[in-house]
Amino acid sequence: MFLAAFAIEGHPLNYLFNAIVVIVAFAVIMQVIPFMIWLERKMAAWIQLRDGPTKVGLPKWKILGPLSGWGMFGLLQPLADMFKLILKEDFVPRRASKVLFTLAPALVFVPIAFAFAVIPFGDGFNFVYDDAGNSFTVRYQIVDFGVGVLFALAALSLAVHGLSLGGWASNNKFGMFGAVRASAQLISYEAAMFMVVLAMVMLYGTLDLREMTLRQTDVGIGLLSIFKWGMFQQPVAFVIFCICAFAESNRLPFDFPEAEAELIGGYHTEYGSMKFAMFFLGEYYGMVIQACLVVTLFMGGWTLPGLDPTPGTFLASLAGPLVFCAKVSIFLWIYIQVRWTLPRFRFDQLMNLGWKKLIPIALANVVITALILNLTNR
Amino acid sequence: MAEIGVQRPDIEAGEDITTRTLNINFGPQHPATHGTLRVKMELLGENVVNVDPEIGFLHTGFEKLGEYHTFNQFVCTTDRMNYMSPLCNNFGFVHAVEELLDIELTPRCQHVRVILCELTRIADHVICCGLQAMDLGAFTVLLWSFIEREKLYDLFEMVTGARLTTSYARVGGMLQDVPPEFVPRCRKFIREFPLALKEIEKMLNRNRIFLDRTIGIAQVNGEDAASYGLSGPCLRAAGVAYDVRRARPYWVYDELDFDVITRDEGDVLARFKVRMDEMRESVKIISQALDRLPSGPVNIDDWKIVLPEKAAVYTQMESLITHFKLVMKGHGLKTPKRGKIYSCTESPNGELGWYIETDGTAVGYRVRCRPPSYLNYSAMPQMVKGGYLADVVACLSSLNVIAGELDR
Amino acid sequence: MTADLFGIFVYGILIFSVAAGGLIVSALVGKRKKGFVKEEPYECGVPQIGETRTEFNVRFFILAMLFVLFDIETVLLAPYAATFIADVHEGKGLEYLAEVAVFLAVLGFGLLYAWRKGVLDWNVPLGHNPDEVVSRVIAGEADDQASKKPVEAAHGH
Repeated sequence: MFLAAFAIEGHPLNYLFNAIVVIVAFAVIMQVIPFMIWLERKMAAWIQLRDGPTKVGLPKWKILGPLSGWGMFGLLQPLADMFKLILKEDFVPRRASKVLFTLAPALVFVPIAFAFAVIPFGDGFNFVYDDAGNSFTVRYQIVDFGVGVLFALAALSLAVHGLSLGGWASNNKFGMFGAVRASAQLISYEAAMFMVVLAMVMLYGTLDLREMTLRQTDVGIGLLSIFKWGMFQQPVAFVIFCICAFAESNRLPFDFPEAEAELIGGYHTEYGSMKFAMFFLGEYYGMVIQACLVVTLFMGGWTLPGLDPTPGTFLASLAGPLVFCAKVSIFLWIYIQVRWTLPRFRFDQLMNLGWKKLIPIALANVVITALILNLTNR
Repeated sequence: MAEIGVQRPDIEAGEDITTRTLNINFGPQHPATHGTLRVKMELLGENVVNVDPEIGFLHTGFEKLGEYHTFNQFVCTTDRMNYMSPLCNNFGFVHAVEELLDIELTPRCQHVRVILCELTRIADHVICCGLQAMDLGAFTVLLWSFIEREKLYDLFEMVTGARLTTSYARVGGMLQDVPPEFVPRCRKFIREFPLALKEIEKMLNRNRIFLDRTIGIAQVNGEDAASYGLSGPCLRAAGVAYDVRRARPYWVYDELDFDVITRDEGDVLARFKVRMDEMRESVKIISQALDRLPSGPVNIDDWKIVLPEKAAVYTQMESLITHFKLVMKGHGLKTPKRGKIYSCTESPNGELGWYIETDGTAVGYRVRCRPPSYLNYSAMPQMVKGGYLADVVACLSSLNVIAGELDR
Repeated sequence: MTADLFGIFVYGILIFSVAAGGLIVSALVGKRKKGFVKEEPYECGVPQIGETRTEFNVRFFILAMLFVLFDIETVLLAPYAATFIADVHEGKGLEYLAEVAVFLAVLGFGLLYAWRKGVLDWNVPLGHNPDEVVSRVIAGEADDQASKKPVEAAHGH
């Protein structure tokens, strides 16, 4: 019975191609994250008028010729950091609950990573496998749920458990504080985020992220179809969603769970070694996914205005993922820029912003969207 | 506090639903204390219920050292006391000794001291403003202000040979005259510095988050501030126009044109703005002093106080003897048998006072310091009580508590 | 299993292996030293004072309950939102909107109620009207919000 679930339906090559897509996508993200850490340090350095990492690059081997010892602008710094973290001592404080303390980093990383499964980063291609013209479609998306946006948000919101358990388990007051703050903050902004997404769902009439992407294009009106993007159709929702995306990924100005000046390290005060790295990985993974969501919901996903997104075209099959990456990196760049520019809120201000401003506005946005849709789509 | 489940809170009478307060150690080893302060806090959620500051983690016995070192030796200790503004401390101490001995400094020396003190004030204030921003999360501003301080430290290095441990002052003058290239370099700095200030202000002054974090935080009114003994920018930010440079002028401050910056709000933002404006005033003072800078010797012509020139020591018998008398233990400066003096200067943090009692020798019988940080810090619990945890951080950095000076 | 689900199966394996790999590697590599003082939870370099896991401020808990309300609401509204456009085309948009508006209104009043009760005001004890209460818990010394207003005006905001 159980094994029957694993029975192959359809062409075996379909499975292979899907697996390749998944592995490539995962590999790309796992490369993007160290690159982003490097970029963050580099950009922080530029903003702060210093050099940033410059040393960790190629080794001083004669075989490399003139490139021997070249710093590569410190591009390999994240790699060195990772090795350092691996070699660090795996520390558990006294009276910490060991199991939760160990599992918490994974509890952050795994759900966040799963949220990526529903993000469409391109359309896909048709593969014709016999002369009769039978074909299957390989999607540039790990899995195509009909309720993609709900799945993504649900998976992202699970990460709060990792943060709060990690902080609580370490038997540290600052950790405890970070944990409590993390849970309060994440759930507050989640409420607003969900409500904003509701308006987007009304607008697009679907919960499927792939469908949403396609609703934001209109080949007929050429370049003007940029105004079909969510950010122009729903500017209020766009702004609120961006704010929530910052808050959900614990980035300045919302980095309360780890607010360095107040809580030292917050929930990860006691963490070191790869456990800490896993928190870090989860945070950056979360940022990438929030950026993906923003791009998919509000910036037309992998499509470009004026280009035909129907399956089989150049955009859909080949350029789509690249366009998607470009858009995501724009948003990641904003993430970094904001982090090194703005100060942090205070906790009550954070709560006021979330509950007294964003949620009512988002609630009103839902109603107003409904009314406008009623008027325009008669 | 009542045990949970044992006694139900009387909501109608204004009792909160029972939760226990959390006692927390804030410091000595904490990123926001900028030194080793310990603040025991009782927290109710995010609110600060009770604050109990504890000092002494950086106690080094500086005052006691003053009773074993001769006055010129003790100068070296003073720059360790406030590691943010060593030159002000150097000059502040020797100024007290000079008042005790009734020494009239040469005009050049007075001008150079004013210039160096104001440069130090800028170095201190700019870092303090940067730290204030950093503690609120805006790390970038701190590094921008560090760039300015590096330029200042280059100037200090040129003059004194050291960047931090300057030990530049001597009773009756200075270690040496400033090098000739100092004046143009200094002019260049004060020409460029206001631009950097503008940059910092651009970043923060209209930033809604920064304003929300600082307006009305850690407030203290002028009356309270004065009775707590606050001084310096913290007092002036509360509306009291007390500045030692004006109230009790020393050197050539009374001949220079500058304003005492005050603001009425007495909150963190007011302190930030007072510091920013004071830096502009310092630039004004420096440019006036540079314009007026007279030539001539920097040390007074009194061999009983100032060491003779090296060349003279090697060639003249009298100089050699004087040098010997000044340096050897048991000889040295002559001070009044029953001399007592309280003298103060305006250091970047406020009134830096020295009480020196002598018994006729070159070593103080009692050397006591009135460090501005200590008295500024004493008002901290009152300022932050009832606020949020994050306000404590904002308050601490706005008071600019220097642990070395605090504990002495 | 369809090819689509196979993708998430592979992805799951990848994620879990990275997570488990990280934890296992950190457990295996790197030497460990134990010590009584070393294993002390970090509290700024001095011994801990008091308990860590005590009854924390109840406000956070109430906030969480409020969140559950809003979260469930969104989930309940999702199907409605997804079919909204279709409803509009059928001409039933306003009718359905009115029905949902009742639901939203109840929620909105819930938020207002919580707001009025002071759940969202962090400086006021729970169960009180924030306009009247000067906090007693906070040692009676906290200045109320009203006294801070003139300051804001003085700064020109």
